[in-house]
Amino acid sequence: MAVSSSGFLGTSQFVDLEVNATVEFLSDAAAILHGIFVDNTQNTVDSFVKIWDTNTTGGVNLGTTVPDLVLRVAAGGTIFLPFLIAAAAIANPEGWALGTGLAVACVTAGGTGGTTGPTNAVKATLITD
Amino acid sequence: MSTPTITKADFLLGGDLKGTTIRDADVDESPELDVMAGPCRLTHIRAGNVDSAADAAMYLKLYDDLNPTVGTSVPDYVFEIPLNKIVDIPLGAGIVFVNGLSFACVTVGGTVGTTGPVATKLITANFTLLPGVS
Repeated sequence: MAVSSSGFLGTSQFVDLEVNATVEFLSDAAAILHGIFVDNTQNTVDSFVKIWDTNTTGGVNLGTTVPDLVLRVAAGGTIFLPFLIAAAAIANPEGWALGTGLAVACVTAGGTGGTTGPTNAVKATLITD
Repeated sequence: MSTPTITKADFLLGGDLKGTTIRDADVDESPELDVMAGPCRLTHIRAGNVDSAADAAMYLKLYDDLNPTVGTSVPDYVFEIPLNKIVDIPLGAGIVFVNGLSFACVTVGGTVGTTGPVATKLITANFTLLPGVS
């Protein structure tokens, strides 16, 4: 499944893709991630979506480069995470600001390690600026 | 190793369903272990990195493990808590920890990292949990 994007408000967009052991660079510059939805219903084991705040210049060595986000998606399940991040308790939330870029992949192990992608398709939608 | 600083409060969701709010006022490299004494479902995370001491982004790590070794055990979830920010993550029906929930906070993401926030910096985290996995 190729990466496809559609805008909905200003510069915000939905980015749909199949996530696997190929690192996808969704942004080569600073970006904001407002939320992520992951569908792991096609698999019988947990999948782990990983996000790196980096760009193609910095690169990602899957299994070695330390991810900034690790998200376990249960076998046969889905997950939706909105990122409501604010400067103070009563400020308007802004989303997760990545200062360098946005790279994403999906493997079958948590933490930093893991280079094996899921057996069946894991689909993700990221809401970004 | 710091003294555990978590506080718990139970609340009723309706009928006989009871939830628990756990607050750790000083999340650091010393893991809080199996905070619900068994399998549980996490429905909400709220974490803050807004102490005045100069520092950097921190990484909140959640383990489906009764006794993880921070820096070695593979975390199941890693969330960056940016400097001077409060992170609020509602999880809807929740995410299940089939063994139990343990957590810690260190200065790097991924698996490695054994250094927690500086002594004068407080990372706070609040979790809303339900007992069991269903």
